[in-house]
Amino acid sequence: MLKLWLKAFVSSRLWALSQKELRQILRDRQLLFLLMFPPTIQLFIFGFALNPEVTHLRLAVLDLSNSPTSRELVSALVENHVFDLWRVGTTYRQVTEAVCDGKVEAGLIIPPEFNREIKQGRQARVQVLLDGVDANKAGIAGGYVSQIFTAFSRRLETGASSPIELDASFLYNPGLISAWFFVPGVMGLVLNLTGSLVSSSALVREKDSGTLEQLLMTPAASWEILMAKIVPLFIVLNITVLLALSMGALIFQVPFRGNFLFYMAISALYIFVAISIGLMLATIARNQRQVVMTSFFFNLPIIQLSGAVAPVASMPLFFQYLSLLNPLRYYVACIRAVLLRGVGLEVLWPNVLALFAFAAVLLLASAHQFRRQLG
Amino acid sequence: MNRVAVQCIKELRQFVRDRLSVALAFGLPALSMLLYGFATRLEIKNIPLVVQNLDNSALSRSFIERLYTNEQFVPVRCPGGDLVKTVLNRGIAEAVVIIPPEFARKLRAGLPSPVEALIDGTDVNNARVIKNSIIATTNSFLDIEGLSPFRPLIHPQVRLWFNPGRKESLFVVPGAFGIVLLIYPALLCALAMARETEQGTILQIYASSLTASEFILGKVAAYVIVGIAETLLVLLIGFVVFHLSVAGDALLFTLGTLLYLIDACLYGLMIAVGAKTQNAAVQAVAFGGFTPALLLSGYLYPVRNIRYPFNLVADFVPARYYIELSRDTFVRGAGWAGQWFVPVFLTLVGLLLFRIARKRLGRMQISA
Amino acid sequence: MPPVETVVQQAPDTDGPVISVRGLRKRYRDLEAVRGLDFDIRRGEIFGLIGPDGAGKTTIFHILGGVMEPTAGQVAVVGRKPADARSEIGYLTQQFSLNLDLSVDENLSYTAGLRRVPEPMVSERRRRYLKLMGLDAFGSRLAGQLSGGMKQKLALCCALMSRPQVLLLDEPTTGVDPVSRREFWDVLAGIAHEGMTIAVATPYLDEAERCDRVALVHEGAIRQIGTPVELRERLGLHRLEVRTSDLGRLEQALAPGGSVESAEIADVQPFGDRLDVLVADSERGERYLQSIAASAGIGALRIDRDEPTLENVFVLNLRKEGLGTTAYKPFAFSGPALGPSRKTSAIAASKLSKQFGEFQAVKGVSLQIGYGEIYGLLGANGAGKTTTIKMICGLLQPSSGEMMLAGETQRMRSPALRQRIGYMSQKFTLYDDLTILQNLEFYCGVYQVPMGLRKERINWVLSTCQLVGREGMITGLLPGGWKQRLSFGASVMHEPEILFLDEPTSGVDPIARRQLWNMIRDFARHGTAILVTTHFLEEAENCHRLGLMAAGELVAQGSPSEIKKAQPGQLIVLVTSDTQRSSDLLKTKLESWRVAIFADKLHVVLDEPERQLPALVSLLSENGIQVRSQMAGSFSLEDAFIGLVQRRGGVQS
Repeated sequence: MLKLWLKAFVSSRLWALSQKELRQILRDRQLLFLLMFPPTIQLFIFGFALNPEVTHLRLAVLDLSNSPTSRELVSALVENHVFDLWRVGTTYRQVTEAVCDGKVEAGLIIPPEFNREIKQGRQARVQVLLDGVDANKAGIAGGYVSQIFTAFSRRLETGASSPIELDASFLYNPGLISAWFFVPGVMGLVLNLTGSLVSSSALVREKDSGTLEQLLMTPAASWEILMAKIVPLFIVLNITVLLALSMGALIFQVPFRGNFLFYMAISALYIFVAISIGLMLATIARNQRQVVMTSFFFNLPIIQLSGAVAPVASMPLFFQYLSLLNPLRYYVACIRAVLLRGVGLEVLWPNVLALFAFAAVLLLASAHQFRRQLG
Repeated sequence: MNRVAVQCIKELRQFVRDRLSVALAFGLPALSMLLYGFATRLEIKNIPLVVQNLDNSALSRSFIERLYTNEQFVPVRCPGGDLVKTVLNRGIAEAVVIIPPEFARKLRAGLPSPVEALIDGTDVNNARVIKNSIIATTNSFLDIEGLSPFRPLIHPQVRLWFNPGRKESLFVVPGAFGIVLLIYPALLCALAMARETEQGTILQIYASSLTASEFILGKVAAYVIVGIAETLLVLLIGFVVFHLSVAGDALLFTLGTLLYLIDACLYGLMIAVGAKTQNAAVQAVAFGGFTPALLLSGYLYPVRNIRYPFNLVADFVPARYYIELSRDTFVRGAGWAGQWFVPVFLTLVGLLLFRIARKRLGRMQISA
Repeated sequence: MPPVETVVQQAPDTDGPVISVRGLRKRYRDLEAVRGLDFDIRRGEIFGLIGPDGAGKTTIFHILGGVMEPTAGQVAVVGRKPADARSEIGYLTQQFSLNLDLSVDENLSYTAGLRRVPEPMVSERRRRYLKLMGLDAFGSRLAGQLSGGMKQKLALCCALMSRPQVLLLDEPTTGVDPVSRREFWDVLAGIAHEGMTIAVATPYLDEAERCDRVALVHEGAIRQIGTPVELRERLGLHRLEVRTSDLGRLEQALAPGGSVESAEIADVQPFGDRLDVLVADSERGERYLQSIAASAGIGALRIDRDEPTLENVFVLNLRKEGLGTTAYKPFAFSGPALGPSRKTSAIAASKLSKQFGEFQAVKGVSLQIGYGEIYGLLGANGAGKTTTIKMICGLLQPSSGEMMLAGETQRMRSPALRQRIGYMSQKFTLYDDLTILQNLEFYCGVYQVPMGLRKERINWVLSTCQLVGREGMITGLLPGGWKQRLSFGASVMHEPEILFLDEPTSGVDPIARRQLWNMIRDFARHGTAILVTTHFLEEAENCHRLGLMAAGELVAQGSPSEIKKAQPGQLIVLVTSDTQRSSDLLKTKLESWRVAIFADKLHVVLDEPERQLPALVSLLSENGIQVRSQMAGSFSLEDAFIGLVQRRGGVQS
């Protein structure tokens, strides 16, 4: 029974069409390399390079008080590696210039009367100069400075502890390893980019070289032609997903807390979405250059507004609403939740539903558009 | 007429011919600028936060009020039950703060009363910011309520230089210049080169005794011109939409930008010389140009956070230096004194890329 | 710095050969493409390279053009290494010499600039050459929107902009219609006369007749070299044009393996309404043919004696090498012959029209094709043939008109209908990045050839293309002519009832072309309805019926003989001492379409020959041209084509 069914499948048109697509993909070594290699490397770079932690800010100090207390203050700033002491200046100008030229990110100026005022129990003023070019970093650094100073005051005072001690625990990623955040994001990003780019250019190439016309003269229905374009790439991208997953686990120890099958299923769903985006693009573009440019045009906002790199919640409201139309947003949210939080369909069903809707609409629309263009 | 000019004019004509591509060549940088400028917000706001108040006193309510005063947190109703399951697992809020029973009584009595915070660590940056801001809120709460057992002895006068309003666009937009002006000129130049190979017109060029240098210079010149037009557009958006102003040396920036555009086009061309199809050229440019420019340039997060061995790569990423120059020009304003090495480095990179491209083109013959 | 232009133009080597090749070899990784060539080309000579697909012609051109290093041997162009002489060489590559997204003027100024032509000369030459090629009205049109013939003329203009001493033309007229082709060669003859040295490769052997000397290349070596006359004489055969009412039976009787085998006959080639028979001795051959006809019960034959053509030279020489001798394996049809017995038409179109914006591509075309019929659609580039075919096979929605395809009038795009149709489009229809076998497997799969038959069918295609054992090769590496044969095979593996062939033989060498037509006829005999377009009007004689299109309209329809008979005027065949100059002279007195060069003869169409001819002959002799023979001839299909198209107001309108 199975054998008969298999035989029917192997002799079917769909099989012939898919086999051809698969062979073309496998034949194109450059493309194959590009399908496998960049995702891996990108994962690496994202994991190792993107680290939003604010640490090791370079600090220039002008200590005019030059007392044990002032030196203690400096070492309090440096001891948690939030700041690294870059140099101790001798004049005010030296410190301000270092900040101006971007040599250091922070300057600390301790006035001569610092020690005296502390000793007399009066509040001592110190000046902290922060390079505000990176507003976010400066903000966080400012927060650290006041925390450190508060703690320092407390230590000087009596060693009394604060009455409200915050007992904070980080769930899902207790070590706050940034790779755990970026790896799922990059997976979504890579799937989206390669899926759409490869499928669109495969279709446009066929248009370009006139083979599409030949294909249309065959009994193959347009859904079969489209299906055949999708299936091999679909398989290859599923392998990419597995590859990325094992890379994440092996190199970054990204945990896998959810259901593996569920994870693969939503990934497969998203691969459909990405490929459909590509097919859609191919119906817009007339040549290779156009298809590349249009795919950038669409992929850029898709990636930017997905929350893969920067969280959606901190975007301006307009963009938050816009991102509701972004399929990648739902996928990234899903896989992060599955990997790190270990939840499943019971929580993620709205996202999955949205992805289904996207896949259906995009696939139908591109099939319709494709048929219309050719008919 | 000079053959470099001839090649350049021909490239420009071909470029202008394809309307959609022209539209996209300018639409894409504009779109990128707007997206990067508006939508990239590293500073976290509007974090959904659930507070479970087990004390229900005036003091505890005032503490909660404090948490929500700035825009950092937005309140989410506490659903009760196992908060990890009902709130965090579902992603309803990113943090839960639990105020213990007898919070007010203990504090009034001078006894410690620890507050518990459960923070979703999925987004690492968020998690850290959440923790810090709860601590900061707690400290200021204690100060204001007069509950602090000690007075802060040191008063830091924090002064934010260059960007006192902490506008994030001042950081992101000049950085985005470095990405936009690299990727699009490089992409266009690579496509133009790969098309010549793919369509076989390269053979006519081989047959015309045009030298490899003339060929490269002509093509690059054309797309540098396109790049300059893109630069003007992008700058206009920077000035008008994001209110940038020149703080540093405009001349240095002009020089640096020109060199950077040349590097970008040379890079695209060099990559595409070896590519068999336009598709492969694009993938290679995107991977070799876009990824490092985005990730290894300090565009989003500090270069110093990059771990070994990628930090070594980062030292050779031109985008990194150009972004520094751009930020200096529009925000910091140190000028030549701080940035003199940028044009030098970009020139060296350009020379290197030119040599590689010339070598890869070989003797302008079919290689077999 | 390359030398200054003026110095180059005075390069004083007028006596020696302009191109000299000694012991030239080129080896690719595992293939020796050129195996020791020696030849010289003199100044002002048109030197033709002919040979089967994959003979190494393009490689020779690459080396002469200085874009490829030879593996061994000396090559000198104007006394220098080709790479150093590139400024003296104009090179038309096989495809894509032009930037299709630039206008005519922009293409010209680009090449002029690349080759450092001074500005004042650019505009002067542009004017001159565009006028010469009849392109002066199209300066601002995009090259991509020109017809095939115009593209090649423009490419030639580009190559001429720098006034090179040498022109290298690699199949410049492939895919170009006969009228444009003739015009193209008139221009070539003109510039060669001015002292330009031209090397040209062509699959059209009637064109090769217009070369001063021809080299027949096979497997990277020269097999024959000499003037066309020398080559023909060396063959030592005579050609008999045999006409009879029952051509089919005569052909069967003469076919190899048929009832007659004889040393008398060297070659038989069928042409629609006649057979060309090559014999060693005309007298004996004629008698022999008549006797065969008599014994086969065919009436008396009408036999005209003539000289062999270059095509005969080509075919017979290569046959000696074993090319085209392997017995042609007929297609094993699985179904019964459909036969022409079917009453309904396979294809019927009535008043088909297509409008592209302002442009009316096809106007009211009506045609009917029955099963078993080969219908040839002829026309110049841009006449609307391809558009018509696309409408008939349902790829393009007609603006108005009705159609019927295999009995269907409505669901033209249904899989069931497509299953019964074979289609071979003008562009290559195979996937360049798949192997030959994978391509064939693919077409077997989409056309649902029964599993049991697939292997056999694929083997059939491979053997007809002589590609057995090379099925693992990447299709993109095959020479163009080979790809065409393979595409044909791929489009018929499912035994279609209706077959569309859009220029199936473009770029195919004469031997393979014959074989392709043998297969086409096989399918027709089996009952397949075939719609074919071609630029080889000799082949069009193979069609049962023809339709001739000009400017989107069907201007003539009928069997080849009917069309020829319908021509007004009288055809006079002139043989003169200087064909090219005679043609140029006669064109000053007559409309240019009335004068056409056919190999070494001139065809002149006159309405009143008795009155006009003496004046023309004296015009020629006044100019020192000797008229060797003048006689009334019957119109060839090509004459008819040129006449019909040109009277309609030229090729491009």
